[in-house]
Amino acid sequence: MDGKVLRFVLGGNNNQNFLMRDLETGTWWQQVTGKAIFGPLAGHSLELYGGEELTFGEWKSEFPQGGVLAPVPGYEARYAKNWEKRTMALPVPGESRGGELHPRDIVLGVSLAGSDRAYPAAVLAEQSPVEDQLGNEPILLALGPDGVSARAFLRKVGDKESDFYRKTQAGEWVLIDSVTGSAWDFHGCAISGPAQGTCLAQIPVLREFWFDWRRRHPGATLYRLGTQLRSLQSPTP
Amino acid sequence: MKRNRVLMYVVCLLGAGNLALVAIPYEVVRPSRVLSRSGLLFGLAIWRSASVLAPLFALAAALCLVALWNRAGIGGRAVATVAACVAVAAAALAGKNLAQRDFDPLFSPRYLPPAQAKVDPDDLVLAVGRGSQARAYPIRMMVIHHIVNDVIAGVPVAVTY
Repeated sequence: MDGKVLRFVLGGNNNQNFLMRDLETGTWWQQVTGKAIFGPLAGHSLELYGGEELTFGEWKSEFPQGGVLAPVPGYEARYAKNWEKRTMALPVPGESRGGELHPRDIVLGVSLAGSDRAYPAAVLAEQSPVEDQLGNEPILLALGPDGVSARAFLRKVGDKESDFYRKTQAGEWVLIDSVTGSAWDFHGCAISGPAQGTCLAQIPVLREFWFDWRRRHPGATLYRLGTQLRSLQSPTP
Repeated sequence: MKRNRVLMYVVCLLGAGNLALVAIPYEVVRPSRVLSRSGLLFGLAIWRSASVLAPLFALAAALCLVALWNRAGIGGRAVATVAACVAVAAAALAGKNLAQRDFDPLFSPRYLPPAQAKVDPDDLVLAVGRGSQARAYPIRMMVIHHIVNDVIAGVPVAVTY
């Protein structure tokens, strides 16, 4: 921030999203937005560096030269495998019952050109890739070879909108586009065919609990199989 | 006698006030709570003022206790002592980081080559950076640390979960 390196610690919690505090200025920041809400730097925003959530298997195959966070001595016993189950048991703040998804169902949230849409992970597990229009742009979401890691891309080959099909042959994971018939890998890059050497524009995907996503994107729509869409009411504050 | 009574009220008020200075911010930032923006800012303002006000209140409470001591009965001494102790204890907690008990952010993380990492293939990781600068942060570790302060490819980054 303004040439100064800030170091962050946890400050507290706001609507199940944590607040962090920097040690240099004492400013409080909201994690999910990167915005300073209180203190000397209030009003400033951190720049989003970007990242994604993948399975370790997928990440390792893509970045064999990368580094994995080493366990910190003294904490090993707390790195529990069952973190997901324990998180699921936490109360959901201020959530009324009902709705078509459980508050802690996992969704893949995509924001594009002012539109926000949540794609239930369970729907992707049934149908991948999913083709859709979001913010007047053609997009696709696909689960990777591991069946868990998800990525989204603009469905445009050159300037042309294209459909993508999963090649059903066993063994390899490729998508075939309808415009050129090229084969595309999970990076969104064409590995053979006329489009070889080009890549689709990737769109960030946020893996979130449904209630979290809905609270932060009040105008969001929910993708359902058959592209039947329903506008959701804003959650009561 | 009347002066004793006033001192008694004052020391009790200071004890209660200090308790509130600690309890209100803690209540505001506790997990699983739905909060308006103004409520949050109010709690944080109290938290910030507490680090200055609470020690002053504690000092005032202690002075009141001393002034009371020789003139109050045994009951009055007991009540005033409790109130002053509450004020001092709360002052010790005031302005402290509220969420630091269960989570420990990292400042100088170390990394292992993928082959040496004891992470299951189906474990989710936060993937940041590319090529040899690619970093994987296993979620099962991030739910404990939540924040890793690091430099990736020359850029200072806070990796958060």
